[in-house]
Amino acid sequence: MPTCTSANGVWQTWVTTSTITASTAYMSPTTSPYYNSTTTNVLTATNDTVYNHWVSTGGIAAHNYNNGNGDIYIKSLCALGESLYPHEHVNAYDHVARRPDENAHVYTWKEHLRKVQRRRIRRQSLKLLRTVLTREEWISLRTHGYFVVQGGETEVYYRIRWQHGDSMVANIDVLKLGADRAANDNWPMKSISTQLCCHLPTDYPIGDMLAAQKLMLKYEERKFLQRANCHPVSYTANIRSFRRAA
Amino acid sequence: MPTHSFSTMSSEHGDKKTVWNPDNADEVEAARREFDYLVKEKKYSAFVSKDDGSQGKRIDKFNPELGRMILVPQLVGG
Repeated sequence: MPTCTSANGVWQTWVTTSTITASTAYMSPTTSPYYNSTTTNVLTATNDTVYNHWVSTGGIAAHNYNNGNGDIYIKSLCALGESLYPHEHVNAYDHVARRPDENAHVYTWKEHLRKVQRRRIRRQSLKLLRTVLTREEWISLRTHGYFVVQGGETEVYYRIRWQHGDSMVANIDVLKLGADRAANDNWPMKSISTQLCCHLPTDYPIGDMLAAQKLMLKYEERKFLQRANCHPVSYTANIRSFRRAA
Repeated sequence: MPTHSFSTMSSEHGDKKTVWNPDNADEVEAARREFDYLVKEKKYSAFVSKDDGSQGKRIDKFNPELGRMILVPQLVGG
């Protein structure tokens, strides 16, 4: 059965703010034999729902969670005296001690909502990117992790890479190659004359970043080159394998 | 009811769409104001592009009859 261990003073918050009855004997801080205002208190939830309610509503300072399968999760939660409400528990689950094989990560609601929102924004940006790229460019991006664009004014070929971790650092290769080889070059270093770094501010999603680079290189190349910084060529196969946006 | 729209790249939405009905003068005017604010004051670059990405060009003025415009914020060198 899930068990919560509260730090000093937190116990009373739990039992007085919880709307779910864990065990009537424990609900009153005045009658509970486990209640102690000066020492750590232990309360056993009747099920996971009750436990989750405590965690989401209580001003918990620290607790251990036993999920019943012998897995102990130790979490460092918000400090005593902070708000009792989950939307204000920004750092509640920041530190999670995990076993090496453990893949469970518990998020606060705020973290969860942020993650869902970031996914939605990312998905929207990839939809926009899909409409900006030609079919061949899109297939190249999905297959190889990059696509090639011909500059609108200089007619030089640029390879725009989708890098690991959505990094935008110098993700544009200026190619020496002609159209026939530019798209299937397989990364010989000698084919790259320099690398460019020019992108939207870092809070923009990856789809917007790549779409903006394509549009600027294709239809506003001079302005793009004026803003871009040149980097010496460093050959790394830093390409993110394409995955559909979750 | 026919509608047109332009897409604005946005860190908060990914793709923020401004929609108008070309037959509705108020909606067209509101879209024009939004376009002018972004392009002239925020220095966004505006492009018109086919849906398949094959053809496009840069534009400076709002044209309510254009089917699809994309507004790109200023890029920064890294």
